[in-house]
Amino acid sequence: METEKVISLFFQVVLIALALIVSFIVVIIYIRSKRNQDITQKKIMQKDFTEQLMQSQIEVQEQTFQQIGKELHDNVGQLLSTSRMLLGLTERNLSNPPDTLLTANATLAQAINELRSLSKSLDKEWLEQFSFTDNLKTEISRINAGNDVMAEFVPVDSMPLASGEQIILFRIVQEAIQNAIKHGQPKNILIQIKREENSFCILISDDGVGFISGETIKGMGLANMKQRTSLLGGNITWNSIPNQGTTVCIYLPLKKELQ
Amino acid sequence: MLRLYSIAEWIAFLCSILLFAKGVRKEYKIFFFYTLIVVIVEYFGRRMAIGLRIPNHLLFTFACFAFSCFYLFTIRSFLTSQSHRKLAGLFIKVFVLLYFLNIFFIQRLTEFNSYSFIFAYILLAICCTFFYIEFINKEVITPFWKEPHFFIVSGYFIYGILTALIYTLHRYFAYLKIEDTNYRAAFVKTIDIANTFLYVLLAVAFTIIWKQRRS
Repeated sequence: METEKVISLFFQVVLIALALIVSFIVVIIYIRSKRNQDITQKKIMQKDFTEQLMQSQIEVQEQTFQQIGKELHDNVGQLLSTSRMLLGLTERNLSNPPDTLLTANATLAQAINELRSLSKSLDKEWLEQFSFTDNLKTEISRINAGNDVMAEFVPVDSMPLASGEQIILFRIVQEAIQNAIKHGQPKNILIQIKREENSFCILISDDGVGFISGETIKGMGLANMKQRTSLLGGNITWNSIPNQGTTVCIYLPLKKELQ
Repeated sequence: MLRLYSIAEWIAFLCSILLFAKGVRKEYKIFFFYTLIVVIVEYFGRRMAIGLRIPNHLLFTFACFAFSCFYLFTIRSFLTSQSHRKLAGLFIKVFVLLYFLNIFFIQRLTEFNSYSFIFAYILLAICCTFFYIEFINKEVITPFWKEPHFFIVSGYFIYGILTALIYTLHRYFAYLKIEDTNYRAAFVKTIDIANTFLYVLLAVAFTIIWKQRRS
């Protein structure tokens, strides 16, 4: 009888031990899956936060651009217009105005036009009235007016992007063009849009001095370009060969509702 | 007739062959040799006991020593915390010391050195707990079904605790002078369950490792 009791106790102990071990492992699995959920949630929140931060940074930038644009248009533009008006008056009062005065008047007129064009390109509200293609065409005309660089744009029928996104994309391309002019000293800049099955790609190529690929690309402008591209859900790359030029590739995914 | 745990053992052995697939990390290949030795030891152990009718406790004393060291070493390699690794290393040294003390002074070679393995499996369970702590606290998303180490350690954990318990009860019954025949069947059944858990979980882990191989 004593032996039977001991054996029964043996079974009980083993069963309880096995149940406890299995429960322990199940609890571990449960805690791990809860933790996985927490990490996922944290990542989503971090992503949302980063996106919101980027969005607000871009909004602040746009507001600043708008303010600069308005200041240029209303303040500097007005001063230039007044100066031109005065030059016009002087020109009319003189029976035989000197060539220098005529050239000054014409140069001033050109400066006013460029200033207007520049202030418009900085004004988000103005840009929003037009498509990405139209805005880029205006920007190209503005650059070509300088006669230092020849920019060419191969337009497409439509851009599969919402209005706000088109402005963001325009700013990226604008920055890329400005960088090319500022650092690359190119003679030609070519902007192409290539549409692929699930994405499209904007290529900004120049024939400037380039840089060594693989070198760490730094700078606030480039960081802004990266930020803006990631806000559109895409990515941006720089390919460059020294003395042959640089190509900036902006890859953007096609959104299903816009495909 | 093959017992359930023997089938599990063979499944684990066959699954361990997958570890030789291209793209599997080299260090996992050691599990193939482990399962191979397990199968060989099991075969000879059974032949000695049933066919040749000679005591096999010596074979199992040495084999279990090797296996215990292997379990402790593998868990130590899975641990990421330096302090846990150091402790696991210390446990291995303490176990080896105790094993030889037991061989030379306590149980000697006249019987199966169960005291050493009770101690080894307790240490193994502690190391498993270290692993579980690290597993829970990982800062990356870790689904358990994609974590082969979790299955390996769980196998060790279940096997270690159950076996330590069985060996302890065995010693206790011997102390109470209860005839071996009274509980032998229950003892064998429990050992079978523990072994089956170990080998099935190892087979699952090997399959996960094989599935996660780099192409």
